[in-house]
This record gives sequence, C-alpha cells and structure tokens, in this order.
Amino acid sequence: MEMKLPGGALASRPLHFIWIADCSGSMGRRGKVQALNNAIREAIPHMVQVAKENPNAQVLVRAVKFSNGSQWHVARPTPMDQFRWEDLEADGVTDMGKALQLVAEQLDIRVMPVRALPPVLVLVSDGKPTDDFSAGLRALMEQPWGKKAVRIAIAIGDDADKSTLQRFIGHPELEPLQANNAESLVRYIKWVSTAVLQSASSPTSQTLENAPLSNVPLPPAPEAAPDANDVW
Amino acid sequence: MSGSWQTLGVSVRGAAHVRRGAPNQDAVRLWPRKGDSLPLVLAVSDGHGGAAYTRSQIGAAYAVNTAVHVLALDLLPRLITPGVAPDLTMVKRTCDEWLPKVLVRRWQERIRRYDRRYPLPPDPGAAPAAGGNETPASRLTPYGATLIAGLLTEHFHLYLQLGDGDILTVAADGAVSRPALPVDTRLLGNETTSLCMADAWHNVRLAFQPLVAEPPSLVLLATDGYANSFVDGVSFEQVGADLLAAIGAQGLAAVGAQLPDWLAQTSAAGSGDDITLALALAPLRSSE
Repeated sequence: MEMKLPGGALASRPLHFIWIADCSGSMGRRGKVQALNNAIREAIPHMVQVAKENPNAQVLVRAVKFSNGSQWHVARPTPMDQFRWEDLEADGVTDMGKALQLVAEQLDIRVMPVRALPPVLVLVSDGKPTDDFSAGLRALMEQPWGKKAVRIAIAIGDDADKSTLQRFIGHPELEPLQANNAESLVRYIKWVSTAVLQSASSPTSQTLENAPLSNVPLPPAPEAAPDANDVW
Repeated sequence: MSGSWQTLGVSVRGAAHVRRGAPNQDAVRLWPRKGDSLPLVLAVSDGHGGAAYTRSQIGAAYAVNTAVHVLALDLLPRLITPGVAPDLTMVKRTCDEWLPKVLVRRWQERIRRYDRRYPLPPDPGAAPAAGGNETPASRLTPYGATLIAGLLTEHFHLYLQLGDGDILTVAADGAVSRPALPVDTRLLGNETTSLCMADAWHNVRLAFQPLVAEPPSLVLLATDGYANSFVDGVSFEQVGADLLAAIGAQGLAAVGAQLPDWLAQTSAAGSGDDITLALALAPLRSSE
C-alpha cells in the first residue's frame, strides 16, 4: 500500500526582492526616471528565467518609491511570472529614510519567516535624503532580516549622495554602483536582476563568523558604459 | 513495554545539489549500528555548502563519528554504572560542563590530523590571511559542519545541537514536541554556528530530559533541509505524527524502504537541500 508523503504542505523557500526607487523631482530631469523604468522593465524576462532555473526558491518581487514620503509601488510580494512594472513618475523631495522604514516593517521576523532566503534590497537614487535617513537605516538594521539582507545601491548621476548609499550597503569594501548614463543603468539593473538574483536563489550555508562581504556571494559587477555617453 | 528499540538513518542528496553537481554534504550515524537496546546514540550533521567549505562532507562524517565516540564510549561510562540508578543532577552537570568542550575538541583534533595527512593544495586565487599567517582555526574552515545528536538511555534522554536542524519527539498519541534546547536567534537564512568556529563549544546547546514518565514513542533528528521544505513549522512537525502512524500501520522496514524516495520528493518540492533523518522508535507498549 502506498503511503502518504509525511508532513504538511511543501513549498520552496521565499526569496523577497525589493526595489527601493527614488522618485524625487530631480529624477525627472534628463530622462533618469524613464531610464530606470525602462531598465527594470527590460530586466523582467531575465528575472523570470532565473526564477525558472531555481525552482527551490520562490522569487517574490515588490517595489517601494520615495519622494514626498514613501509608499509601496508594488505592495504585494508578487511571483516573478506575474510581475508587471508600472512607470514611476518623478516629483517632490527625497524621503529615503521613510522608504527604509517601510521596508523594515516587512522584514520583521513575524512577517518574513525564518525559512526564507536572505532578501535582496536594491536602492536606486540620484540625490541626497531630505528626511531622517539615519532613523530609517536604524529601523532596517534592527530587523534580523535587515542585517542579513543583500543590500545593493545604484547611484544615478554625480549628484547622488554616495556616502549615504554606502551606509545603506554597510560594507566598506562594497561600493555603490555609479550610473552616469542610461546604458550603465541598464547594465547594473540587469546585473542585480540576474547575477545577484541567481546567487541569492541558490544559497549555500556558511558560518556566522566566516560570512563574506555579503550574505550571499556577489558576482563581479559589470563595468560602466563608456564615459562619452554620460549625461547625468 | 515489550520488544526493543529500533533505529534508522537515511540521507538523500538535495535536488539543488543534483542540479549544480554538488555532493550530498550531510552525514548520519547510529550506535549501536544495529541497535535494539538502550542506550542508543543518533547523530546527523550538515556540511556547509558555501564556497569556503570544500571538504564539508568530510567534516560532517567526522562530526557524526565523533559524536558517537564521545557520547557512547567516553561519556556513558562516566554517567552510568550498570545496575546502579544514576545521580541525574550529577549527570546533567557532567553533560553541561564536560560534553561541549570535549566534543568540539575531539572533532577539531581529528580534522587537523586528517588535514595534515591530506593537506588541501594552496588556492592561488585566495587572499592572504590577515597578517600573512594562516590561523589554526582557518585550517578547519573547509570542513565546517553542524551537529545534532541524541543519547537515549532508560533513565534520561540527552539532546545536543550545534548549528541549524531540528529534533522532534512524538508521543504515543501522535503529539509532537521539541526538546527544550536554548533558542539561537542568530540561525537565520543561510548562516549557522559550526564545529569549525574558534569558539564552537560555546554554541553547543543541550537539553537534558530525565524520564519520569513514558519515553516518547519516536525521536527524530533532521538536518535543516527537511524543515525548510515545508510552508511552516506546524507542517514540518506533522512529519513526526505521520511517520509514527505509518510505522504503526506498515512497520519500520516498509517505512524505511520508502523514506529515501519521500525525502527526495520533499527536497525537490521544497528547499532543494540535502535531507538527513535519524530516528529511534520505542518498543511497543503492552497496551498498544
């Protein structure tokens, strides 16, 4: 007689991927926000492919936007094959700290279970925070999943506050990626959407004291596109 | 009670390990190998999968062998004199004070001996160690592994755990519980404590259970690939009740024959990780 598989419902391990996007007024200049919209939209098919290749990770995508305050742009943790990108629009100031607070609420251990894979947080900004960034970062890092998250930052243009983005990353040896043109932004967005996502989707265990720079091994980032194209 | 205790150990390579060509890095060991009388020792270990842990399956094999050796051959004679009821206060104190240090030291000694005999070739791409000197602890890193073990006697059960993984006990009525090990909140995501850490013995967690009533009908030790395959803890704990029911209906041999396939299916639909399970089944009670 065939017996039932022991235990309750099975499931692959959730992997939460969260875009944290700057929608301040300056992002509306020189096509920055449209370049970000295009880059994320172009990355979706690649993310779908990575998710298919890693069936033991359930990739769930969300997005937070910040300008005057912060709100969820995509609030529901969305399976990769259902994820669609609605264009962001630029207007207002740069309340980056509030965005980190919103993310921190979702990284609470009561919301994100211990069996999840380390989440991936990608912060994209072209400016300086206009609110209490330190409070937001503190809220994020007070969460165990905030500390364990793979934190990537992309600086758009020379006016981006790289020291703030560096504090978000939290490792002196990992720097923000500097995108000074749309082509570079596409390269970096594709890198986090594919190589970083792939690495985060197939985690391997490691000791607490021997953890490398990031909680998952980060593949080398691509080079920026040639300077001659710089517009930001 | 009538009959005897029965034990079983099963380990399967994880679905994700198969996809990327990685070996099964877990290990399991039972003592006595075909044991049917108390005391018994069960041990499972999960070798770390990260790139730095190139010999973790060897570390895991040494972990379960060391656990059996230390618990069965070193600790037991200190605790129990045949025919004499043990002083459980003294037993607990010996376990607390003696066991973590000895267990970790033995594993580390054995690994260092192995490493001297079969040294790893230098990695030309590796960054030099800080200060230019390789530390004794860093020689252990490639062998990093967790350890879960249980020592079952007629007077008490002792459970120990270093790193992630799970221990379940199942009562005759199917009620599942976990030994009262101290909770380690640092075990999150893919990070764990390990035998290869310099202060590993500090991270050994123990649960000592004097047997004042009936022992559990089933004891399960599992590497974390099992629990991580279920939507939540309750769904995983259901494994305990289901296995006890299946054994009751079909017998341990029939369940044991199907377990490798069950665990492989569970890994494929769940975590993708290696899954290793050791179990001890109590004798049927005369009223059952």
